[in-house]
Amino acid sequence: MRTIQTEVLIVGGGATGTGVARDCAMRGFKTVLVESRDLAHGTTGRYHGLLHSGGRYVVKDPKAAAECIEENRILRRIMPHCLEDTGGFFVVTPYDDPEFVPKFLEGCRHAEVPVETVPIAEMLRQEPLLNKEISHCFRVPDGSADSFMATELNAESSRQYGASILNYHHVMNLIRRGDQVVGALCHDLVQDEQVAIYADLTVNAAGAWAGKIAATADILVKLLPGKGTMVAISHRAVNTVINRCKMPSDGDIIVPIHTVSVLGTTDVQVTDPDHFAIEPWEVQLMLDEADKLIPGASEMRILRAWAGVRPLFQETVTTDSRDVTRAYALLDHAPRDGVDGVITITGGKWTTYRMMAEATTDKVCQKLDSPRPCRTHLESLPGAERGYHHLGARLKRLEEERSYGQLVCECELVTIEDVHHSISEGNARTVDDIRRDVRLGMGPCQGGFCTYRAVGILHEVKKLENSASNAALRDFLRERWKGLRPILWGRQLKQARLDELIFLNLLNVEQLPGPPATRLQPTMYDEPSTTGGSAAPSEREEAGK
Amino acid sequence: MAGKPDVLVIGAGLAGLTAAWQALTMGKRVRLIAKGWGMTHWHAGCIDVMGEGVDDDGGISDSAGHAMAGTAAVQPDHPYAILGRPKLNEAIDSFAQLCRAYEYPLVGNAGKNWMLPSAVGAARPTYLAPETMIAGDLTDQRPMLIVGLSQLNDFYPGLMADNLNAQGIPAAAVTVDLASLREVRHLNPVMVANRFHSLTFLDEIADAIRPHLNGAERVGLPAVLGFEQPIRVKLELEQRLGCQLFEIPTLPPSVPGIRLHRILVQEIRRLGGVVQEGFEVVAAEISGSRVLRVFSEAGARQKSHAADVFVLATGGILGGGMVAAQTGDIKETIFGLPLSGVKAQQDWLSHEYFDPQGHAVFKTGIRVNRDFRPIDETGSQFAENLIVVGTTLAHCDPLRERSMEGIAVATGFWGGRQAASNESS
Amino acid sequence: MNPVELSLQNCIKCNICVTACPVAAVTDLFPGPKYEGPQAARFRGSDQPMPDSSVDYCSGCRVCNMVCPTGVKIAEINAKARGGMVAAGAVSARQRLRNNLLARSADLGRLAQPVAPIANAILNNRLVRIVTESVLGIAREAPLPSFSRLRFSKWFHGRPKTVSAKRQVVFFHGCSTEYYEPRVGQAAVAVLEANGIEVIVPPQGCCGLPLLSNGEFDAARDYHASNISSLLAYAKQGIPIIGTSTSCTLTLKEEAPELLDYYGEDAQLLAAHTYDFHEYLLELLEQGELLMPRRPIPLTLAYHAPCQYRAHRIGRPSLEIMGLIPELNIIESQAACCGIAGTYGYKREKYQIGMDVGRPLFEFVNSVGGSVAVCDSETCRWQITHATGIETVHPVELLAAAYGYTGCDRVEKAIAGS
Repeated sequence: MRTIQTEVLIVGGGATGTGVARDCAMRGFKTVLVESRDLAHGTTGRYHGLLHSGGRYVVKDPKAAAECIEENRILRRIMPHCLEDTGGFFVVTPYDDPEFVPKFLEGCRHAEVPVETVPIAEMLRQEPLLNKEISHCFRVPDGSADSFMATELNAESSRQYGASILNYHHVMNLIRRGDQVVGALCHDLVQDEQVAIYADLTVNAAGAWAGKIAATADILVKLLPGKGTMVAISHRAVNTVINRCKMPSDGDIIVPIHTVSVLGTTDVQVTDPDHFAIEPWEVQLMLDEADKLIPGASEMRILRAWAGVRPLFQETVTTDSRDVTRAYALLDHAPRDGVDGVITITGGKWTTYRMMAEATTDKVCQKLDSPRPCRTHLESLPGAERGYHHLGARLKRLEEERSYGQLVCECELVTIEDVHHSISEGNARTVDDIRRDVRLGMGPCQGGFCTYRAVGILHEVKKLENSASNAALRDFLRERWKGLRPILWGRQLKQARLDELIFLNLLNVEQLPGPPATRLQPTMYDEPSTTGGSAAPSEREEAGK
Repeated sequence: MAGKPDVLVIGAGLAGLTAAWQALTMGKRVRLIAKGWGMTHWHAGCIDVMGEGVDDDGGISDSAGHAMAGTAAVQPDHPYAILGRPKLNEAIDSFAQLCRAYEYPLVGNAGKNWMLPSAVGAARPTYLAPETMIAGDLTDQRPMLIVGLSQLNDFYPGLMADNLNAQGIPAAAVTVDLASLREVRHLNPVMVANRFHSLTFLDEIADAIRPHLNGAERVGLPAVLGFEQPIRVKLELEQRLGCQLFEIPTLPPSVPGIRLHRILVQEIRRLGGVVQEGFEVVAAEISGSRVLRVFSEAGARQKSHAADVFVLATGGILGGGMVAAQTGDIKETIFGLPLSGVKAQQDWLSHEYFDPQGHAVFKTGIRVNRDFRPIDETGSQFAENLIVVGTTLAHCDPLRERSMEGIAVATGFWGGRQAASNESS
Repeated sequence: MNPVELSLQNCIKCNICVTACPVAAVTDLFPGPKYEGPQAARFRGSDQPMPDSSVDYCSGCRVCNMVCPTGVKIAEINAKARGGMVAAGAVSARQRLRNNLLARSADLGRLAQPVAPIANAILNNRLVRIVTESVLGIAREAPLPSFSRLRFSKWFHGRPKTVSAKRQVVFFHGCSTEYYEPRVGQAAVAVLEANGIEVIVPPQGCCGLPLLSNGEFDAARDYHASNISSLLAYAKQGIPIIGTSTSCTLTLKEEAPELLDYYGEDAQLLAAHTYDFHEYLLELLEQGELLMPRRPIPLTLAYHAPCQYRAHRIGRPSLEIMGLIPELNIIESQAACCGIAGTYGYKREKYQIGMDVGRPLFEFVNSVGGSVAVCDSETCRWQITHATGIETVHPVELLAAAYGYTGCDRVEKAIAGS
């Protein structure tokens, strides 16, 4: 068994965890981060990609709104290349109560979210597919965010500051000695060996899984995972974030991100963040609500559905030892639970991840008795000089280089060089890792043509055993299937059949030698409940993002 | 050919083309219209009849004939069961003869399936394979060299060779870098295939492969050995290399599939038939028990197509002959024919991608009687002059069963003949 | 969303279009229809810098549309992208000048026709062609047509008025008949009148296709609007508008509305009444109202159905009508495209691509031989003649001759020589 000694150990490689890692490393702490799978594999990689302006919360939660706009400005400065400056509209459709408008405008003013009225004709010029019955439209500085890239860059920056980022390190349990957590015992899924990591302070940043992690040290952190299901339209139906101007609720937003439009989202409480299904009613709800914003949206080609779990923290202890804003929870388990050496950060929104990381790292400084100032809001992430991302960027590069022959994923214009970079620099181990790095397999054919190519390259570059390559191939096909199955009809079903012809007939991959699946295989959704309506949608307030 | 055809075939996949060919051999005036090209450009270019099935004595068999008999016993509504074994054999044999006449022999393996290597090195059972592929058979243990081209991103010899070695077939891999391709900005299998028509290119590729032979007795290349005379290309290369050569099917577009497409289209035209693409048939006019005409989408107004007999060969969900809607409805797109095997939407797809049972939605299809006329659940006929052939038929999953080309050729063959005679049996 | 953009969602990436594209087959400057069409289209946003350049190598022949099994309007997606390039200023001023010169056949014709002999002499002057190539980028070898001394509409209106007949049609002559080949229009009038149909030739402009295929959408919009206003009255009366130029009729039917995103009732009514010349004759034939040609034409001729004709998705009406002509043996080419694709093959950087694209057709025409070849589209005719030296006629010229009309010199010469 390997052992590692560090000052700060962070559990969880999502936005919060990598944000904390960067902050700790920048403040000079010796930092190790462990993630049970790949970075952004959990909730961070499965949200709708909205960079909040705060507009969504101005009425419901003005403090959260103010935090959002403040962080929005900071993120635009430190990571423009992870963002697309789409702007956002709040629109009043015939299904919405116009009485909300004055409250919304007053809320924006109060939270200092910049807002301007957009004439309907101008709105339709900019977004011709929007419902012509929309009566009001307001512009706010929403945007869309590539959360995979942001997470990777936070990790890269952390490494530059000396941190060690270990993915595919599954935490089996926190190591507790008496009233002290002294680190975590991990299973390195790639090497298949145990690793003990000892730390002066452990930061539990496992999001919806934070309760499970804390439980291994007999600490009760009660989280109510809230599942959110999203659906992607195969192309950019809109180029602006479209919000319904009303209290946040299910299916009220469309986020244009990269080449797709994401319809979001539901909020359904689940008992276990590792076990939930995408229910047909959720998909239907997304499509029905999208039709109210874009008539005919439900007829468009749907690429895929996915679901993430938001961590909703429920306090069970009555002490004054908590720093819980309505947006997130930062728990010091020494005063709260009598266990020292560990703190938990959970909840929150992607947009405010940096602020949460700052608060967490302040707590780290306090716990380690070494006050050091935060600089994450001042220093940009690597590559920020490139400026905002824009939709045409990949096409532009390809056209300039005339490197058409280099395409691996034709839908998302991913080149051989991109894949090589992901494998050698990003240390991708599976096709799914490559996907998160470069969007391979995320387009209309969902890996039909690029999976074989990517595995061929992975095999070549990593010098993988044939069985490992075969597993990478089969794992990825399963991974794509889990998000396809809920939305397979019409054109996407036709596509799935062509893909089946390629993999199960032309290539015959199920006959390849080697184990049918591996430790690195992505987690799967459960089968939807056959009744279809066991968890019927209800009017309720949105939690978390 | 002017005026109304005797037989109008809708669909240019293997089934439609075969049906048109057969109706022509029976002296009919035939027009084939299609929305576009299809299956021939995607499949491996072999004739799969059945992957494996229940043997006569109840065991698992890789013999296509046996498998078929077993299938008929297990699934009495399977297209093969409707045809019967002699008709299946006759259709497949005639198709092989046609290809032979075009100097592109499709070869059988004494009634058993070949086990040909796929581009990842998995065994792919098939009944008839073009002569350009059979040296790759994996029941034979001779060492092989798998050759890729450095500019062709659709082929990874290293992975393939490693998988073959793991299955006990000695295999080495090399990716050759050809000077003539170095400056090419992008390359696909069709572009490479066109280059094989030049002897200089043959010399170049042979010279590049030769130093890597190291005792290999056969050399595998992606299936790109040209369109015009692939057998000659194979022989020329074998002569230069002193060992056997075989092609390995790649991702679509399929060069060997296109060869079959071209043979059939050429034969149809030779016999005076017409093949035209760009016609998406969207509706039909039916009077009593007869289809009078169909209508295709066109600029400004629909185009009408009258005929005496219509052959529907538009394929299943992939071919576009059926559409499965979000509402859970599955429809045949032209006539709204009754479908068989329709499942509730939540049962369309298995939770497991690799489920050996396949996905139920792809088994939805059209049920036909012995004359290939579509029938409903009560067995009553939809129209007397409509014939349905190919993978649109119900009670099979041609892709999973590995019966895709077998069903297309055999039902196309007999459906085309039925259309030409159009008498009730 | 208009049908063109909607159709990009149909793509299943199957590569069938890639196997059929005649341009990608001869040059790697063009990455192919799948890449340019449904793939690149997902990266083109309205308010974003236009990243295209290779899409300009799409010739717009529509072979991809024809073979696509899922109905993606690839050629139109590409044409729109080119329109986007022009609108975004991504095409150089010099190229646009050249493209406009090639595309404004109506303006050019109006200017040059009165001085046709001089204009032709200038345009055929080798030195002039070298200069126009280097200054403007018009390929020196490309087959520029000669201006006719006779202007079709002037000839038509100068004739004694035909008596009122049982049927009326509007003849859309297009620029080529008006300025370069009035003989095609004369043959068409002869055929129609022989069938007892009154021909109306109202004032009309260019259909706008050359501009559309050069991405000059604003200018094309003006032409389309002006044609709507001059032709709409006839459409409203139910009078068919028929044309011998397959690209003009396709533009009125479909291309202009789709590319210009204009689906007004007027445009739809005009489209619904527009017919290809032989498409219309075929309807007469089916109704038993077409005069049967009686004069034998004992020739074996090569026929090429132009891309623009196939794009109508009406089959091969002219082939069927020619099939009625006694003793005429027509052999249809199976070649994809002649390579000229409207104005494409005239451009210096694309001339050779066009010639390479057309090679299988030229070989076919040469192998059939014959004194003339047959093709429905004017620029294709010029290209075939340029590449093979064989004079090329419109199918209507053969039909007119078979009706006994002797005004088609090329056909008469061919019959005499047989």
